[in-house]
Amino acid sequence: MTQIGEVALWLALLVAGWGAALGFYGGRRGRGDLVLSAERSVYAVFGLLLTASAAIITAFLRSEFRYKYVAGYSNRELGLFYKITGLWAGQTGSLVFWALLLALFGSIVMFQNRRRNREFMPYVAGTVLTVLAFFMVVVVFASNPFQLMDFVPPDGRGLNPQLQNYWMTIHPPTLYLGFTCFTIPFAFAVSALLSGRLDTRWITTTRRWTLLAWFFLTCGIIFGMMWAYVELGWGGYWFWDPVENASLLPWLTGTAFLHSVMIQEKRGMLKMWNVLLVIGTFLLSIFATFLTRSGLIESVHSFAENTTIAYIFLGFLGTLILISAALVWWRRHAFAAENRLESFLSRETAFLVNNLVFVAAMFAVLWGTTFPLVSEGVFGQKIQVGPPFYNRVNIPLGLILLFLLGVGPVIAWRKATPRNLKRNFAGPLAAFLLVGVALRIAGITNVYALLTFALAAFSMTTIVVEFWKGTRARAKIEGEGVAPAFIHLVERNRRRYGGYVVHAGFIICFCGFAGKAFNTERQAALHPGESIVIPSAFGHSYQLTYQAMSWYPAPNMTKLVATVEVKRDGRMLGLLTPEKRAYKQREEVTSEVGIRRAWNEDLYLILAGVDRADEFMRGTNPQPVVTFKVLVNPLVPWIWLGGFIMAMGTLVALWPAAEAVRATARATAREPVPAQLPGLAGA
Amino acid sequence: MRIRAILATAAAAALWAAAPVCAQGSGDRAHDVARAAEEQLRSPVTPSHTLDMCPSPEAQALRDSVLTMAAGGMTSGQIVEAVIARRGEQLRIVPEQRGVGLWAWILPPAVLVIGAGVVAYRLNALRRQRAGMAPEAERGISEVERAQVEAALRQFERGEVGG
Repeated sequence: MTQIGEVALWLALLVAGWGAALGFYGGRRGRGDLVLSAERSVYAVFGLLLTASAAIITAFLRSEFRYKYVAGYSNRELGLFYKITGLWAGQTGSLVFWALLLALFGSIVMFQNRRRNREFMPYVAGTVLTVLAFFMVVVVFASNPFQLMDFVPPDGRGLNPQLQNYWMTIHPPTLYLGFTCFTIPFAFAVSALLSGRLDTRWITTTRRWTLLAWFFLTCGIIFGMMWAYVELGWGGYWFWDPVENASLLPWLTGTAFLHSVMIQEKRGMLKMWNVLLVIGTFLLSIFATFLTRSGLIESVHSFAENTTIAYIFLGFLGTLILISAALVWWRRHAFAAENRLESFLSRETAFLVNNLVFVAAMFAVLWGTTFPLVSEGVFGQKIQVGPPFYNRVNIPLGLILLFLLGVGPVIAWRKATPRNLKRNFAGPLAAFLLVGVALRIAGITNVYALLTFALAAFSMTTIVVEFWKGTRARAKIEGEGVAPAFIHLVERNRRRYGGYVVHAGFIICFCGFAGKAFNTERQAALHPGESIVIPSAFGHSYQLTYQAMSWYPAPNMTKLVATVEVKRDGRMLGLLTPEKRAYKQREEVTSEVGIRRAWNEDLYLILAGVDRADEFMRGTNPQPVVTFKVLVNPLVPWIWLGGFIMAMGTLVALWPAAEAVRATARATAREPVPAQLPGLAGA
Repeated sequence: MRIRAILATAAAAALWAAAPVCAQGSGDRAHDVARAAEEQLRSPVTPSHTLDMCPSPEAQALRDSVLTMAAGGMTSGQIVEAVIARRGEQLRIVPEQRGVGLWAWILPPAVLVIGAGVVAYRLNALRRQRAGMAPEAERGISEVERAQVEAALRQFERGEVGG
């Protein structure tokens, strides 16, 4: 099976190269037979990569430690689930997995468009296969998962303990789904540039792909935050690590793109900007993969391995930038706007400012992430950039976005009149002032938190009023009850109202972030029976009493577990059991935190240290002194809730209306094959 | 009715947002200052970790000394500089606002300002062009278009009457 896998990788490289060449050549020459071959190459590459991936998983399941990759990321005692997810546990497998997902999406696109968008498809196939060929070159020549060890070890090194967490099993695939999914809009943008069809068609065709990519990327980022929160054990969820930043970069430009396409669709403007944004988003996805896997920048994500592939990635990125720039320059005259901006006070301007802020935030994160390399390369002095830098630069930008979130959806297209402004913003402004004043009187002093809550009230009010107005109007016109009117309102315009739901989730997330301003923290070394008391920002306090310490061997690890009784204002809440885990194959000790969740805050308990732990395990120190670190993290649950709402909103926007599905099916059946591609006529 | 609903929404939003601050300031100052300092320092043993998140015993010892300094009345900035003076520049993770570090701080706002300038310039240019280019709503429709619309309307009305 594993030999078949290696052969499949080589064949995938050859077929991808062949198909890429045929796609571009066939598209230029109008040769349908060549284009058809290119399209079938995408299916073939998917099949080959599926075979290679199955071979890698089989090698993990059989514990075939003659392969370096399997020996490096598995051991005999590793659970079945983590053996399967070994496919994306390390660099080599991840690259195969990336390519597999792209081939899957490429195949879906080929199938969906087998009878429509024919002028785009040769170049879409060519672009997708070019990217696949690049990944195959990296995998086959620089990072082969089937590379053999010089000798066969009796056991493997085991999986990185930090990756042995359920969030880590779904976080990387979800992120990769997002990264790879952005290749499809990119491929259509390249097609539009090559074919000269720069109207809105490529955008409407890829709208769902962009939303899907954004959905996966958002979920991936949220899952990563959840993993960091429960696994890294320091009480935070985001610390601006280079790899975290890498996932945020395409999200920022992708979000800007989702907004700016609306201007092109409604007003025929920003054509070049949209092409640049989608190209930039794809390049940042490649950059993110490069950053995660190159190891060029120090990161807590210790699964980065070597810098060899870094230069291959940089070469590919450089080539893509040059080709994309050349294509945009070549078609520069085709980007003329169909309409002109009529007023500063318009939705177009609000969206433009929104785009400016998103791109500025992207630049700030990119600059901070690469600054250690830049400062060392240019000035010979490596300067590290940590979380305080990103917070100082990005929080003001985030507040501007929070404000625009309330403005963009309700300000009029073209030109907002004073009457329009008054009608739409009186309520939200009242909410802003009311919340701001109320919180100031309540004693809040943190300016950023104050502004966040006030702006959240402003923007949330616009969303609530939009839903309310729409529902009321529909109920009046159609004679429906409020609930049916609300459901039909959303059904009739899923994209718009799904977008509002996403905005609501975003606002709730921001409130969750602002909760950090009210964190409380205590640390103490306790004997059994001793307590630590920590206040909450909500006025109550927790009392934690250290009861006992225990240890026991578990599969693949040894656990040290503290039992801590938790009371809130004297009322018993239950027990928390934070752990220290020592993994067998890797000499690493990790912390598993104890978390008590409420709707508005988390009580977060870290087992920071066990005094004379070895003596305790030998039985000579039965009641060890234990150091605990306790945090009360207000509003953290809101971040997860906000993320969930954002995901649900995206699904609402993504879900096709029944009539639209029927119309698409009819159009697909009716649309003739273009004459310039005669070879497709019989397909 | 409408105003009342909006005000009710706003009041609900106010209550919703005001909830977390009832007991603001109940934290321990020394812990808050120490935490702020720890977030601005690198772990002495794990380069990818900040001091506040590193689980190693060495980091724990350094955190204890940071807490002692905070309890002694030092600010987070003073603690950061004191630790760096003692343990070396490699613990610094916030670029200084001078020398090479200044570049880190200058460029992001510069890009935002330049971007805002470009957007403002472009908007102005578009507005100036507007004088010679009527918006489509004001442009009206041609005679041919008018005839087509009227024909379509007549057909529609006939259909309505007939149906």
